[in-house]
Amino acid sequence: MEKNEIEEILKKQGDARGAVFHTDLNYVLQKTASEDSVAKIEEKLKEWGVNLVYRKVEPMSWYPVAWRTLSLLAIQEVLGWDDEEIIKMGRNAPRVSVIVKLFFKLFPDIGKFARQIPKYWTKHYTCGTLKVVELDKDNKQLILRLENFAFHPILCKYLKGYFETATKLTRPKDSIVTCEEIQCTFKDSTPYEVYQIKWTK
Amino acid sequence: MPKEKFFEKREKELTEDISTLEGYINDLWEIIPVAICITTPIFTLLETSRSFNNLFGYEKDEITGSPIETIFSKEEDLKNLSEKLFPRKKILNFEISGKAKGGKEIPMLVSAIAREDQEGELVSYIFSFVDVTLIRRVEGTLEEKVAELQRYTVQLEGSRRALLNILEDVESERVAAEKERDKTAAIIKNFADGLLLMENNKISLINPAAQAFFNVSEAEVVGRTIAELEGTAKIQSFAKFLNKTGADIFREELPLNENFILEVSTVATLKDAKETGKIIILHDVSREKMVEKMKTEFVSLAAHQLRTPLSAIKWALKMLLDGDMGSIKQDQKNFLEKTYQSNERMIALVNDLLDITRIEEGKYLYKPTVTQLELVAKFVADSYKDEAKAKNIKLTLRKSDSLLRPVKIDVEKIRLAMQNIIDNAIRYSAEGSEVIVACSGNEKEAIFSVQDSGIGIPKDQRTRMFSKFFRGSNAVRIDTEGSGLGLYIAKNIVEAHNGRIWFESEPGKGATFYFSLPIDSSNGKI
Repeated sequence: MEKNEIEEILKKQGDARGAVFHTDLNYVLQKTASEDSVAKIEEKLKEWGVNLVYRKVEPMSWYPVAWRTLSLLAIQEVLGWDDEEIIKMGRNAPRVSVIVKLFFKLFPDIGKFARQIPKYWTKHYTCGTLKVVELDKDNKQLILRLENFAFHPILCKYLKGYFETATKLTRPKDSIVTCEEIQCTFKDSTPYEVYQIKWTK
Repeated sequence: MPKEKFFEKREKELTEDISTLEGYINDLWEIIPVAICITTPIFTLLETSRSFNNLFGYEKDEITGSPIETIFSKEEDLKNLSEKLFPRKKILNFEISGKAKGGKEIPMLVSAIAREDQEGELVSYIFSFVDVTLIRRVEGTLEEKVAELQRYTVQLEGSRRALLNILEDVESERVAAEKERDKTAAIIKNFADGLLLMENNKISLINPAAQAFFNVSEAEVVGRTIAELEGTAKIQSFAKFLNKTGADIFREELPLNENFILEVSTVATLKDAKETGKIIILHDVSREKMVEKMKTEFVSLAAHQLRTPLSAIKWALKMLLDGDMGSIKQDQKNFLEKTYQSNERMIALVNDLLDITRIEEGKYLYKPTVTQLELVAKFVADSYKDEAKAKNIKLTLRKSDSLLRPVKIDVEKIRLAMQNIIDNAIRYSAEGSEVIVACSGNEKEAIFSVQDSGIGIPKDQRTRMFSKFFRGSNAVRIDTEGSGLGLYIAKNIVEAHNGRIWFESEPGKGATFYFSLPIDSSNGKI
C-alpha cells in the first residue's frame, strides 16, 4: 500500500462497530491458527498509523471505517490473501458477528428480512446508506444499493460475502444463495454500489 | 448541555452497557454447563455454548451457520418442530436421537422455546440439550434388573409355595412322627423289660424298667459310656458284663444277685447298613429261674428218693430170677423178667433225670482228660455190639483215614452222649439194617457221627429234636418207652465242651447225628 493511498483512506469519515474487528480476528485465527499472524497484522497497521489491538476492541464501540478498511488491507497484505479469501471473510462475518446475533432478525420471510436491512446497516456503520432497491419474491432476487460508502474496493468484496451469508441465514438449508456487485463506485464511477442477491428456495 | 452533546454522552453510555452485557453473555456461553444453542427461525445454528460444542464435538466456528439437522440424527425428530414451538410460547420438552460429529448417536432430552420480537414476530429458537445416555443406560439396566427381579420374584413365589407345601408335609410328618414318638415313648416307658439305647458308645436312653432293675436314675446313666458306668456301684456289674462280652449278645444271663437274674440281649441299630448304636434289652428271668430251680430240685429229690427203692426192687427181682429165693415156675419167671426190665427202664429214667438236674444246677462236673475221641467211640460202640446183634443190626465202627488229634474231654460224659446217640440209632433202626459209627476231624475239631437207616426225623420237628422230653411223633409210634432226654443230655454235654451237635435226616431213610469237639491246644496240659 502506498502511503498516500493510506492517507486517502484515513481521511474518510465514518465509524463502524468494533464487532467488525472481532470478525476479522476470528477468521484470521480460523485460517492461520497463529497469534503471530495477528501480531504481524497489528504491526502492519501500526506501520500505517493505525494503533489497533484486535483483542482490546470493544465490539459495540465505534471505530473509524477507515481502520476497518485498513484492517482488511493489512490482513490481505500480511497473509498474502487474494480477493476470494476476502469474500470468504465476508461470508464468515455474519456467522460470528455479535451485531447479527443481537440486532439482526433473520426472518424467514424475505420481505420482513429486507425491511430491516437499512436499519440494521445503521447499527453497524455511521456512514453510508443501505437501501433495498428491489425485492422480487417470484424471481427470488433482492437488489441492495449502498450509497456513500466508497472507502476501498476491498470492502466491496467483503460486503458481497457478507450479504450472501446474511441472506443465506434466512433461507432453507438447501437453498443456494449468491450475491454479486453489479454496480461499483470504483469500477463504474457511480456514487453507489449495487448488490444483487439471488436464492433458489 | 447542548442536545447533541447529551445524545453523544448517552450513546456512549449505552454502548458501554451493551459491551458489558455482551461480555457477560459471552462468559455465560462459555461457562454454562448446559448445551444450549440459538437458531434462526429456519433452524440455522447462530450461537452455541461451550457445553454444546463439547457435547456434539464441533468447534463454534465450524457449527455456526449449519442447519440444525447437523445435530439431529432422525428427520422425524424435526418434523413439524416449528409448528410445535411457535406460536406456542411455552417450553417444549422432547427426546431426540442427537448426532455428534462423526455420526455418533446420542440420546438427548431437548428443551426448546421460540423467541419473538416486540411485534410478536419469530426471531429465533433456543434449544438446550441433555445427554441422557447414562440415564438411558441406567434405565435399561434398571429395566433389566426389574425384569430379572420379577423373574426371581416369580421363582421365589413358586419356591415359597413349594416350601409351604413342603412345610405342610413336614408339619404333617412332624405330627405323625410326634405321635409315633409318643407311642414309642409310651411303649418304652411302660415296657416290662428294661431297655437301654446306646449311641456313639454312650447311653442315650434308659427306660423306667431298666432304671428300676439297677436302682439308678436317668441322670446317673444317660450320656455316659459303659466304661464310665463301671465306676458306678449300682450298675457296675452290668457295665462290666457288657464290656466283657463286647459283641452282640443273645439271651445271656446276668445274675445281679442270687434271686435276681437278668437275661441280656443286644441288637445293633443300623442306618444305611452302618451300625449307629445298640439297643440293650434286659428281661427279668428271676421268676422263671426260680421255678426252674424248684422244679429241678423237685426232680432231683424225687429221683434220689426213687433210686433207692428202685435199686432194692432191682436186687430183689434179681434174686428171685436167679432162684436165690427158691425155684419159680416158667410163667412166674417170665412175669418177673418183664417186671425187672420195667424196673431197669425206671432206673435209667431216674438216672437221666438226675443227670439233667445236675446239668441244670450246674453241678454236672467236668473232669477233662486229653484223649483220642476214636478210642472213646470204640469203647461205646463195642458196648452196644450185643444189643445190636440181638436186634440183627450191623453195628460198624468206621475208622478215621488219618490219625485224629487229641481232644480234651470229660470221658465219662462224652461216653454218655455217644451212648444216647447210638442207643437211638439202634432203637429206631429196622432189623437187618446197619448203624455206622465213625470219627473224623481236621485241624480244629474232631467229629463223631452215627449214621442209621431208620425212621428219620420229620421236617416239622427238627428244631425241637434237642429239647427236653421231646420225642419225634414217628419215634413214639415205634417205641413208647423212650424218655425224650437222651439228645437233650447229649447236647448239654457237647456244648459244655464248647462243641456243636447237629444232624442230617431224610424221613424214612434214616438220620446221621454229629457232634464236634475242639482239638486240644494245650499240648496235653490239663
